[in-house]
Amino acid sequence: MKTALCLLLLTTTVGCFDVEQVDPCAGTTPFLVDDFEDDDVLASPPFERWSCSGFNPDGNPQAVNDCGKISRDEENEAFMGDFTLTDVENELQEFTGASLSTSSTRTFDLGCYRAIGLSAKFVPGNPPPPAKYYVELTCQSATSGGTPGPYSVIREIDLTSSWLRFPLSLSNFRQPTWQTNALDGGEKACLARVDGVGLLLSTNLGDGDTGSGVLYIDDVLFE
Amino acid sequence: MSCSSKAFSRLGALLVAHACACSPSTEPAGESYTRIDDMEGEGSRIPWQAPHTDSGAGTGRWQSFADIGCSSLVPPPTSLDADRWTFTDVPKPYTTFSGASSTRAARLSTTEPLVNTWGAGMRFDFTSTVDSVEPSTEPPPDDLPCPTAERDLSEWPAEAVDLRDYRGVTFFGMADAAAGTTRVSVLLLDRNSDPRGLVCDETQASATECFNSFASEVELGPDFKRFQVDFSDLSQDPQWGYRLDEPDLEHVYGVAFQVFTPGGVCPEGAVCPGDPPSLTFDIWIDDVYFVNR
Repeated sequence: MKTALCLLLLTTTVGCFDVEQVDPCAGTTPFLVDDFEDDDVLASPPFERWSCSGFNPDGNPQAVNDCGKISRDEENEAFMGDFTLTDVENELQEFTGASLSTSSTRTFDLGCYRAIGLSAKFVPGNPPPPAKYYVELTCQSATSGGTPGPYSVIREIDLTSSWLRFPLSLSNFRQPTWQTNALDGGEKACLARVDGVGLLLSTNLGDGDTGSGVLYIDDVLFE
Repeated sequence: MSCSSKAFSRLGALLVAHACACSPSTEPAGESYTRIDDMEGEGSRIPWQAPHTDSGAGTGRWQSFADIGCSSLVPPPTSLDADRWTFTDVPKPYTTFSGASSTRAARLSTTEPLVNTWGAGMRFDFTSTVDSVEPSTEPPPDDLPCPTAERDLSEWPAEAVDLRDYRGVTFFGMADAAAGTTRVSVLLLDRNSDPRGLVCDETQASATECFNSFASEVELGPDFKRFQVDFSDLSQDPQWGYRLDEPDLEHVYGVAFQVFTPGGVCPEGAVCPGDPPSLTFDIWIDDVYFVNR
């Protein structure tokens, strides 16, 4: 009788166990990349210092007139880059551009984040460049066909000369069309190993044409 | 009798400590260690002798390294034939392994900021196939070139050694926070990351670039404290260079202690606000031992 009761209890007890669901993203809190309110231009680790750079041609410091923090209003600061961009006159259109960015020597897994939020604006100079604007997340260690990048995923945004706040779902980031080799594992593979955050200005300047303007970024946050 | 010249077990350590009239040790029970260098000797060579080498290589050497500003580093990085490596008296002798008292340590410091460079460091090889080197006592010139900036370690020929009998390394370390950064990376220079292994590519920015060694970071405090780095905890920078799943413990050239510029460098061709990134530090490493399996 005692044995039967024990067996019954054991059976009942075993039958009552739940399989505990472990949420790997439990406890994930928003990650502030930078609000530019401290005394430096270093983003939150693992991201490093912010910089301004021109591309196409790459590594073009002459494109940068000014780079640094700037007062957004009486209380808040932001980061800005003042650019003059010239498409090199060579009978080709290079789609010259500029960026504000921070990078890291380590990767950051965005798998538990749903969006990146940031504030941005672009104040055109004279002449203003015809341009498109992108938020870019770089992933140099991602591969295509087993070969490392550099690769990235981007999301186009519309900037005006007034501050706008962008909550951008990470599920809408795509590999840019200028990267012709598809990422192994798709965009998710890149988002799992992000090593840089940037705001890109990509111009459509004609061959030999010049355009200028000031690009601003603030309050960059993974949500 | 040497206080710690061979691999020793806990019991052996106590016996050695007793024989040396040392005070009780600080190492945890159950661990045993093998001395690589206690820094109490002269010159730049480590006492640890690899048990088996194909070439009959001698013991390895300490050296400092950087890509720029080598006249601002003490001891300065030099070519092998101008070896200026020295150990430094510790501010106050302290108790290390087996209750031994340490009076000297490896110290690397800056006299001027190193500007917009990845960092600097000091390292030792486990072996050296160059027999004798006449150390230089001349002060380094102001325009001292950085021999390691050429990314060519062929001047320090060495044979890789098998470390599979060891679980990791342990050492004492401290840093002066007033002098600058106190975070140090401990790197294992294995065949796949060291150009002498002829596996990776010395060419900067190549897909299989060398120098991305398996590493771990430690934060040094104001007083000497023991750190332990298990080989199983080491990882590579996932961004660049030749990358594998694990270090090649069968073929290891040496161990490095590197300091990186906080906040990183300003990327080439980019414009960064403010003063250029700079690096200063004053770090001490002492009593480096293997942790036996």
